[in-house]
Amino acid sequence: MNLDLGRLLRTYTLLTILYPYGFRQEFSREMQAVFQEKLVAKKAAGKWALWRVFWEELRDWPGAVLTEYCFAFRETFGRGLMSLITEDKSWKIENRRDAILASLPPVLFGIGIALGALVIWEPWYVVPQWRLWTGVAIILVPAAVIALGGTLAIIKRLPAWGYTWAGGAVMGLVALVKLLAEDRADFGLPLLSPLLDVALLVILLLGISALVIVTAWRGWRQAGLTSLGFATIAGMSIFSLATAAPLNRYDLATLAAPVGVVMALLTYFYVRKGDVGRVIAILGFGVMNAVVFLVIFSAWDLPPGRPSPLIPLLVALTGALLVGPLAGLVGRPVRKVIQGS
Amino acid sequence: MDYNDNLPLSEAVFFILLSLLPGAKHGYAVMKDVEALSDSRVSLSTGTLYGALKRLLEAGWVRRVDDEGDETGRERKAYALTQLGKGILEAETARMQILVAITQERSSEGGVI
Repeated sequence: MNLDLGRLLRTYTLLTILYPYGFRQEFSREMQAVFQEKLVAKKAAGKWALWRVFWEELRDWPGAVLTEYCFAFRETFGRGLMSLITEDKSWKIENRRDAILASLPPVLFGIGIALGALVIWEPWYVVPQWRLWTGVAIILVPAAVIALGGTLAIIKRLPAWGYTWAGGAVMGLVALVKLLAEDRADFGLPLLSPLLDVALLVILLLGISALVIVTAWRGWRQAGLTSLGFATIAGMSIFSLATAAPLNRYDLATLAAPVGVVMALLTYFYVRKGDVGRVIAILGFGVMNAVVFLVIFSAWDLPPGRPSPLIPLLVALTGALLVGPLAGLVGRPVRKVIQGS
Repeated sequence: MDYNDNLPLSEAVFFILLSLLPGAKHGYAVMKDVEALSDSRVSLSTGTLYGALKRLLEAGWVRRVDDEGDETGRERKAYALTQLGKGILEAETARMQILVAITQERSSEGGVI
């Protein structure tokens, strides 16, 4: 085969791969055959005639591909919202051990916070140093375990048990960076430097987005589990606020343990039951977080005129809880159009 | 069915239907025919041709027919007009004839084109 002809044919084959799944399944081989016929017909006219045929195809290619994607999306979305949910492949964690493992992060984090609060119990300026640091260590150990588990889950390409761990680890990293940045901001200092802080923010946002996109690509159920991981850490971090000055309510922080157990039960319910059960679990998480926030903030006497951070925090938390399932539902037709599954 | 609901046709679709009027053709033959019919004014890329064919198949204006294959034995798909497609093409031709007639009438009254 003529060198240019072969090269152009291979390049054209690559171009046809980028059409939507349904279209390329039906027509790509035929299109490649027709393009080959066009090339063969012009072969005698020389190399430039071949390149001209290719250029004519290339010129029309973006418009043709875009048109097909528009038609494919219109067709897929045209089936209605319910089809996005019901047409997705069913998914749940069959293995009970994996289901328990997936449900562990809230229990670990909740018990860590509660035990740490029990050990410290008094404001940091009166408590003996050894108790303060033992309490902090007790809180940090489960946080480190979740961070390690999340890293392991990401390295293992997110097995079924790993979504909550990965979501928890990423949200934990965000919470840690926020805490450190706020401490530095009290002294009017950036965390690293103004430029590096922006870079760090971008990296964190990209990390969260990547995790949501990857899990949403697999399905809304898996992405929902990642969201539960986000919501676990983001929601329970609020207990640390109760222990901070001027509240110093370590008794409230001990509630983290029962809240963690309930969140773990909801997570277990989510991974083992059907879609109705999943919706109930997500609603349960939302209600749970709202109640926890109300309890903590009702104990916090804000100075008059100062806006309560309750509403923005609740909105952010609800966003964290819903971003996964919603991205999964939107990703479903995208996946169907591109991948056909 | 009122054929006029589907009119006017785009130039590419009109020429594809017109190309299939004498009988079934495979993709490359349609492409060459359209170019010849339009005096090289309409040159379809494979993406445009097969995008249009997909829509025409879905609308039921054309159908796939078995083709005996080329000299290399490779199976090729051919496309043929359906009755619906023929009806649409006739309606579009009639529509254009009316337009031409109106234009001719007006120009015979002294208008300049």
